[in-house]
Amino acid sequence: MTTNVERPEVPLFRRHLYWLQPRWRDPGWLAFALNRLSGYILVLYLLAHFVILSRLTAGPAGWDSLLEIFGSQPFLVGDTLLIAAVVFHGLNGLRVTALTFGFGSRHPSLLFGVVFAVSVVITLLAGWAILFE
Amino acid sequence: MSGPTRPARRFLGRPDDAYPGFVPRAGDGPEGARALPGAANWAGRLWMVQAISGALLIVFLGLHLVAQHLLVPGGLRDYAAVVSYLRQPPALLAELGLLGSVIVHVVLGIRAGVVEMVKSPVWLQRITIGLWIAGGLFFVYATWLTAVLVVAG
Amino acid sequence: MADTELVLRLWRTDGSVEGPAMPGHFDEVRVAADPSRDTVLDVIERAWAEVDRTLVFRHACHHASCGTCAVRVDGRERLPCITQLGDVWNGRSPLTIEPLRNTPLIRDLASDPSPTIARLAALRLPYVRTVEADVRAASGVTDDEDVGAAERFEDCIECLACVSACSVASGDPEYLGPAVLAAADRIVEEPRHEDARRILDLVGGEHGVWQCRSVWACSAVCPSGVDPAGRIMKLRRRLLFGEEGDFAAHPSSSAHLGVGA
Repeated sequence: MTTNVERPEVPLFRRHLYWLQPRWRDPGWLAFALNRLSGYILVLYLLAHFVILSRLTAGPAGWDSLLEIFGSQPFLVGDTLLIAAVVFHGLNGLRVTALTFGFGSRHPSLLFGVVFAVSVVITLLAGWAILFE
Repeated sequence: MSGPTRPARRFLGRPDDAYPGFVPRAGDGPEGARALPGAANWAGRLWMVQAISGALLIVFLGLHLVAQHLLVPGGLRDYAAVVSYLRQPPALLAELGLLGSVIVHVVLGIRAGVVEMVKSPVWLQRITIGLWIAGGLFFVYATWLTAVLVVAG
Repeated sequence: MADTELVLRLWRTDGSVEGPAMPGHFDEVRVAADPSRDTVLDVIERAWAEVDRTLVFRHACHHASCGTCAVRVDGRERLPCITQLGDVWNGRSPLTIEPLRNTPLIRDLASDPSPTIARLAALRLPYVRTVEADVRAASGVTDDEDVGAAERFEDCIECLACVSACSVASGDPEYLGPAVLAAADRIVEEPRHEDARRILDLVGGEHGVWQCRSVWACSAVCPSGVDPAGRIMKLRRRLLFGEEGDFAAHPSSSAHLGVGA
């Protein structure tokens, strides 16, 4: 096990992952790490979404055949995970904004807990709606 | 420098920055190096834009998901349904609002990660410009695609 | 309570301090310990005195007013001089002692606070505050009694536990850090002869208050109740909504400094 002790001139490719070093006793670390990870995932998804939507230029013939693929189980599961990512990212964003404006500074752990819990609940509801309707 | 203390070169940029008595120029960080002209003003404004675009996204994305999936039998719109949806002015405005907010939020979000990693202010500026250009291109493309669907259907 | 045997895992640096890199390893050291009476600093000193006199660690006042001895105990930043062994040790597993993160390492457990101290010096932080409200509350004085203003030292002891705990500081060495930003807020709150605008200008940049990601680990590990995270957010509100935040030209009066106090 190596510890994150100081070394001169840590190169960027190592330094840029230091935010992933866990601090399990600080729930705010988990919120920050998940916010960043969900952000990366959502950016990649957005690029993929643009690519897929460009198929609309091919008219009904090009688009409607895709719907079967997107309605298949693996994609619906993926959609549920995306919902999880976007819900968490948004709620954590609200938490950060609230803290900046001075709300909840005395109860940071409570805020984290609420964000996690509400994200899980909404994801479960959305997953039920997506997968079973 | 003498003794076991190593010069704090990596944090402060220059060895002579490390000692009391150093008086930073107005607008400089204690390192004595400028990030960007007017950076002290811009950073807070960028944060506000990020927060506002995020709040708008909650609204627009919520509307988008409801309209595209919950209100549609089967959960996915076929081509005809997409076109008829976009031809309703409120829906069109909501989709364009979503597009604008998401592009702004994504560009600023990526930039926030870059600020942390990139030490050279020149490169930060170049990457920022590149991100905005890329965002602009995506916005133009998506608007064009929407226009094609609405008009030519 | 009888002494039990404690296995201490102590971070040791290899090589000389002048060398370019500082690879290290853990030494496992066995010492006798009484969890109900020893502090963590006691057992570190015992390891030095009885087992390995080449161990380098920092300590001074032994009562949490100097901020010298801060280390990581099982990954968590603490002042070992006031941390009772029984509060952090389960009696069985080894106890890991590592130096602070995000600060240059001199040797073994001793880290170099000079980057942060230099930034505090650039802020021209005064170490004495006037605290009417605290004195009143602490002494139970009712409003019709006049105790005047009292002066006392700042809460912050510059132990740098907050800097070590900060996830942002680990990735971004130019980030000013919670200790410096909290100090800046304290100066703006009570400028004495300082120019609050200058301070806000210094901390309002990309690598200042706006780099914080609201992890709140700094406030969680602070042994002195400084609440750097809350103060960083206060600075943000001063910058966004306070007069100084607009950098409008007006006399550097310290009396009215924005909202969110």
